[in-house]
Amino acid sequence: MYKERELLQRLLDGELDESEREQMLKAIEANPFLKRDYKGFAETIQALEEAKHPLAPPYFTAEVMRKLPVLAVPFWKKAALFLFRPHIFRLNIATIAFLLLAAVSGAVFLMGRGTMQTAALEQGKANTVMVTFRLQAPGAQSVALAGEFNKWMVNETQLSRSKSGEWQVEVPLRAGTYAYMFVVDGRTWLPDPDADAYRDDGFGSRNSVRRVYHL
Amino acid sequence: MDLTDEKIVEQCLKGDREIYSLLVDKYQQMIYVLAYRMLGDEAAAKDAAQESFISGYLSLRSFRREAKFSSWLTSIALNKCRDMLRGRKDTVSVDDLGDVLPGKGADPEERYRQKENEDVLQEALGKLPDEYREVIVLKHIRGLDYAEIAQTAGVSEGALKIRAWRAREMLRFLLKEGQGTHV
Repeated sequence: MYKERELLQRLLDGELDESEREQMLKAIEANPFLKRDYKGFAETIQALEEAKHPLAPPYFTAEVMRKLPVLAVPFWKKAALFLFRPHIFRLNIATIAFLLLAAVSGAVFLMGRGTMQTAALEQGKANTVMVTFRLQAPGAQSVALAGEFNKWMVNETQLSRSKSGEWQVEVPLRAGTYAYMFVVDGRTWLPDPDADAYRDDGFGSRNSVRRVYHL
Repeated sequence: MDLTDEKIVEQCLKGDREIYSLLVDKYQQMIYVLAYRMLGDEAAAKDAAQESFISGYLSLRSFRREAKFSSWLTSIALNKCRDMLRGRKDTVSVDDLGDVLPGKGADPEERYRQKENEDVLQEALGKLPDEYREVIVLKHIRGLDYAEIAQTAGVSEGALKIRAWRAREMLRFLLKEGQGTHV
């Protein structure tokens, strides 16, 4: 009897193979008590599986979301999430017009600023005079100009050699007085024979002085 | 584009808190019904269901992607119900089966008249031992097979089948009693 009840339960769970199922159904038909039990269990399962269930309360999701804690997220993750997640912006016509106006004004301002910077640069150049420095040194391999206008940097201003052995360079300078020296072959410091004046350099030598005037 | 549960979990873990509402929308009815059938009380079921979703959110990092999210959430809800049931004293334990077996109680027709407006099914479920009710709810209301129930409830399939068979025996009698008919 216990074995039959176990088979009955397995039949209800769909765990019997085809031949076992057939045998069990025949046994049920042949035994009124087993048939009553089978019907009773089948009705019980039907009541469970077809029961009407209560609905989840209204605003369930809203209440859960309200109670959800805010987890700590690294700032860079939040920023990435904001930047790469699609967003929908709702704007009225007045706001759109204002934003467009702000964008156009910003562009005009930046362009004007750029123009002003260029003009300032040009004006800066306009306040300078091109001053020529020359040195006759046909035997030199290189001649450089070092002075107050280039912070005495030896390799900053190189002179160019002509066929006659004269070295020359033009330097834009504002009006003023400048001390300088020629540097021949990277090691020999020579004063300019054509300088406007000379000034003691404090190291036992003399710097050349050029005076530049505005025209 | 439809988001899978796994994609939603992935987004939650990246910090998108609001997207979790999609999972709450999708599974609230399933979890609420499970809790209601286990606890027999709508207010308690609402609390248990909400706490299940909150616990699930806090435990998302432990969710294994190869498992089904619905099964994982069911497991959390079941544990919530078990915790709440432990605090109760009016459940019938396996040792008190004599109180629900045939031969005891008032006239069935009288009880039927008194309880005709009540949920006969829920009353019958409420009289089952907690561990029997679990397998009946998971199998015949939640619709899981024994392998899934074993994974969710943490009980072997063999033990689950024994509990299911005994629970059906009891439930069959209780439903008949509740409907006022004789066994």
